[in-house]
Amino acid sequence: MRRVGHDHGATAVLREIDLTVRRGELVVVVGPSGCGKTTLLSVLAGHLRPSAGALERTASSRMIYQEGGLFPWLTVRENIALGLRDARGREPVGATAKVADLVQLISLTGFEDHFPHQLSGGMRQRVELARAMASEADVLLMDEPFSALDYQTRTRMRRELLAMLRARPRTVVFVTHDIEEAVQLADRVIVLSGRPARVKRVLELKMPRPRAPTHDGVAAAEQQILEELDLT
Amino acid sequence: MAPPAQQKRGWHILLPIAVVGVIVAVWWTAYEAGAFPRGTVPSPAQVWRGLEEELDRGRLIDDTIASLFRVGVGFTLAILFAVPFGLLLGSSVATRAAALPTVNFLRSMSPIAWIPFAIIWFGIGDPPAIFIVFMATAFQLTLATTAAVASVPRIYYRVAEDHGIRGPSRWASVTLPAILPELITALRVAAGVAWMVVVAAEMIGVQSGLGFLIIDARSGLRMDLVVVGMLVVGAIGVTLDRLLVLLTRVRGVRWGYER
Repeated sequence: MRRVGHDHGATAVLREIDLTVRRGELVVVVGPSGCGKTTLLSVLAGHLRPSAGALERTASSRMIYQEGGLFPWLTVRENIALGLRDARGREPVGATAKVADLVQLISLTGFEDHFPHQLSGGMRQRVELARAMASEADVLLMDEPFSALDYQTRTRMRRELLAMLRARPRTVVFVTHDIEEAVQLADRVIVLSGRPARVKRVLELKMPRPRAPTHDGVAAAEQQILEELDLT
Repeated sequence: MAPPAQQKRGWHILLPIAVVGVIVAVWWTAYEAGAFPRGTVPSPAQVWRGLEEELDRGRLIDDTIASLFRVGVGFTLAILFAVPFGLLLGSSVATRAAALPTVNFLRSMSPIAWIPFAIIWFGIGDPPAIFIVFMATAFQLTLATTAAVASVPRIYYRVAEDHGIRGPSRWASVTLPAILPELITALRVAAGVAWMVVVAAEMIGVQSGLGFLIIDARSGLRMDLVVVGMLVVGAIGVTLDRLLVLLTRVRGVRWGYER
């Protein structure tokens, strides 16, 4: 992304955003609410054409939404199978076995024939993850995927996401308003300013995972982000 | 002792029967006490004999089949009109803005007011009654479909696009399954209206059907047969709704009722 800007009607949403996401990297974008984080993801996904600047996409991507992205009329199995379909909507050979693998990956064995409304919020987000992982897409764009969950489930889901990425490495751009989550997950944190969003700060995090909240580096990074967001 | 759940189910059957029993008892007592002027209200026993008489002659069955046929045809035509039209109105803001006031007007107008035209255009027999059933349900179903389509969460279409579901297959894979629960509810309401309206439509211009049975019985001052007709109309109305409720148990639509 080079000098990308976007206006929604008369409202300036994004201004001069420079961002290069490297293969295999987990980039977390944080910023005040309403600053344009979701717009940034939509631009990255190719859903939105930016009104200024240049965007170069070298990989295919899949979006994971905050909630409600599963089709309620399809079972867990059918929703995940949807992710296996290519851009023309065709299902590959061996789909059944692949779905079974993914169900196991998200530890929902036995729930294949359940419908989304019969699952808890955490289980539903795991199905969303599995559906995205099912695709050949190299990049996962995650729009506050855990923010509708309760604290304990959210914490557990972070760990599961990292475990899944170890099993099936992908490039991830993860948007959140949760600073703790950002520092727990990220290789790199991009802090955005309020609207119109500019890149205010970039933090490289090299601490080993799992990252204990009491680890010096973790606490320091969280403090830095809080300062950037004027929350201290 | 029976487990509590079973006990409860027992009450669910016994209490409604008791209520009906009380109503019949009050009616019968009032009749025997001479509370109704002669010829205005039949006794339960007379109604029972009337029912037997109608069943023996086979007319009751024929009339029921005639009414069900008219509702079946009119309602099917209404669905075939309303669902595609509603899909169009629901997905195009411009078409909706243009057509919705007219649809709303036609929906709000009493279908019974179409009876003069129904007879002039379609003569006598099944067609005018079918036409009235159609007019009574088509616009109501169109509105319900339109509203359901317009309220499908945008996120489903985004997800569909992410997964290569585009163009016409979007209708079949996203829009239709997404509106199905609401559509079934609308069908239940409309079926009830259709059944009520056919009885009214059959009071004019036809020589068969439950509506004709009722009006014909009145002409012969057979109030017992009027009550027989009323009871059958009510019972079939309830049965139709119970049958349509079964649609809500289908696997792919239960999400719409359970959350």
